[in-house]
Amino acid sequence: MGAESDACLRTTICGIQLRNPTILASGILGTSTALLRRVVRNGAGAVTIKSVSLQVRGGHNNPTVLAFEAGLINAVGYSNPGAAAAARQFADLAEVGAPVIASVIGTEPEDFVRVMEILGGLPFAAFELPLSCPHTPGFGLLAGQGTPEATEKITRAARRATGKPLIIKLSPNVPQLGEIARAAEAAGADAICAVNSLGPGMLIDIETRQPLLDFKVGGVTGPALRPIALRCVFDIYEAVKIPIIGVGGISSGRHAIEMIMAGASAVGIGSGVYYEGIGVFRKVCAEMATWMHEHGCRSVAELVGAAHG
Amino acid sequence: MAELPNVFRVESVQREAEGIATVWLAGDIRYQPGQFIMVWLPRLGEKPYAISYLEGGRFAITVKKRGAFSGALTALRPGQLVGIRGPYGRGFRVQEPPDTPAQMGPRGAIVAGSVGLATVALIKDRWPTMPLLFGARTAAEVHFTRRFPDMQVFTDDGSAGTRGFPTAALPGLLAQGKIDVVYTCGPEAMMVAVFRICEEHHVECQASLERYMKCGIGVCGQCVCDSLLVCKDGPVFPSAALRQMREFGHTALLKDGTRAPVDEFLRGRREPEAPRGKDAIVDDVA
Repeated sequence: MGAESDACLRTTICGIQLRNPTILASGILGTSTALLRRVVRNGAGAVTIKSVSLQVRGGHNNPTVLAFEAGLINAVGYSNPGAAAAARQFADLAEVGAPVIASVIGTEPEDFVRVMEILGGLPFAAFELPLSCPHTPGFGLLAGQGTPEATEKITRAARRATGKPLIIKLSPNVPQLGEIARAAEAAGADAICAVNSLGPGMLIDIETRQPLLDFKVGGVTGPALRPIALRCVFDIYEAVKIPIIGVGGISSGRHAIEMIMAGASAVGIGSGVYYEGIGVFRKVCAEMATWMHEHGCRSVAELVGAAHG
Repeated sequence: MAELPNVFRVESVQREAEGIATVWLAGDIRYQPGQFIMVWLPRLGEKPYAISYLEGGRFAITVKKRGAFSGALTALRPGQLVGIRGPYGRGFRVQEPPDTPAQMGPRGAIVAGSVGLATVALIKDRWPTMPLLFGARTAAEVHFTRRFPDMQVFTDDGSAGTRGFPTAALPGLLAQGKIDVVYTCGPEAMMVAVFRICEEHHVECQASLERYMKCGIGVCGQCVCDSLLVCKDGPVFPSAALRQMREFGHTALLKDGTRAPVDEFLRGRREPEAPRGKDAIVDDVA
């Protein structure tokens, strides 16, 4: 048994029991059940599928994902096969071997509800609604979803549509983050996922004098995002009582423990797959377990929010 | 760990056959045969290609015109600029048996189809006596005949070389017992046939797979084939992997993530893309 199953790493997030707090973040490797199963075999405590919309979406054109010196920048643009095809492609979800979270996107509240209905027959452990993408017209921030009012409206509609745990994913960009988190909590969210990618940002190639991403701008993730994500989680922890999944630049056990001390009960890993390969989940778990044993720490719960006075 | 495109200047563009051209770029690149590079044309897109020629101070890709992007590549002019990320992925495992003089190389054979010949060409450059079976639809598509004079050519219509598929000659070649490994790149149906023949003859096969590529660096999951990533675990897969791959020869994810028959993916590749913007190709401003 690997470090990912060390008893000290067990955690619970809105009723979902995880063998460890590492969760594959949405948009990374979440394109097929076989790939999700591989991620679980590499140590992830839970996984998230690539976001699904009602209609099929081709997304933005290449270049869509680039690695720069402080992280990744992406403008994938929510390419996905649409809810009906996604339901078929994830029909063998039970084979994944760990809880699977469905990331659901939409423009209007009813879009989210319809996607949740179509995916509702599959054994997803929870629904995650990213109301926070910074680079896709019609979705997230570009659809005005990053306000307390819109967050409350969409969360309320989604709450009525499912009895499964509901996770609302927030943007690091907005100043009134605590307010948005409280709006989600008041509307019935079971957990907050923080944060989505930062930005949008831009990179320019100086030889061709052109923006590098075809969409010109994209969300920033990885090391550049980590201190911002930590601060966001710290603020949200003070604002709400529901648990938090902390995401942003985590690729080591120390990063994960920091995030948990800021207030997260579980941690999302995305860009870490680029830095450490799919083995990043087991690596983070092993480093966490080592630190916890050295410090006489018997459970993740002991560390959640430890940085708050 | 920045992996942003490096910009190279086009040295020349050489017509190889109907709709097929070689784009020569000035500069050096470290590359193993079978790896891929992401080729970027500002405002037109970015797609994976193999390096078809590798010399000191210059290298080339050989491109078949399929849509707006590949069309723009074949229409490049000297002095224009192209962005390159990579090389990425695992190429062919070309190992020389320890008890064989190095110049003899591995006891290999090559089977290529269409512009897949570009992907395996560097292996033939390194070991010129290695048998090479090449298939094209018609004589108009046949290329690299002067580069590889001993190449066995097959065409679907018999307009050049032998009528039929290159796989027809493979069982006879393997039956002689002088081949330990077959390197292949071409239409997936051809590679499936090559793999099956290799299995029947207990010969190792290494196939270079193509899937829709976005990040190229193992994070987006777009190029998934079963649980393997073509960009990171491949693009060249050995027999041990091919045996496990249920999607090999069957299904692939389209750009939008829809799982479709692999033929539909390959057909879709050829459809013209909507042209975007103007002056999409950037002239060297230096």
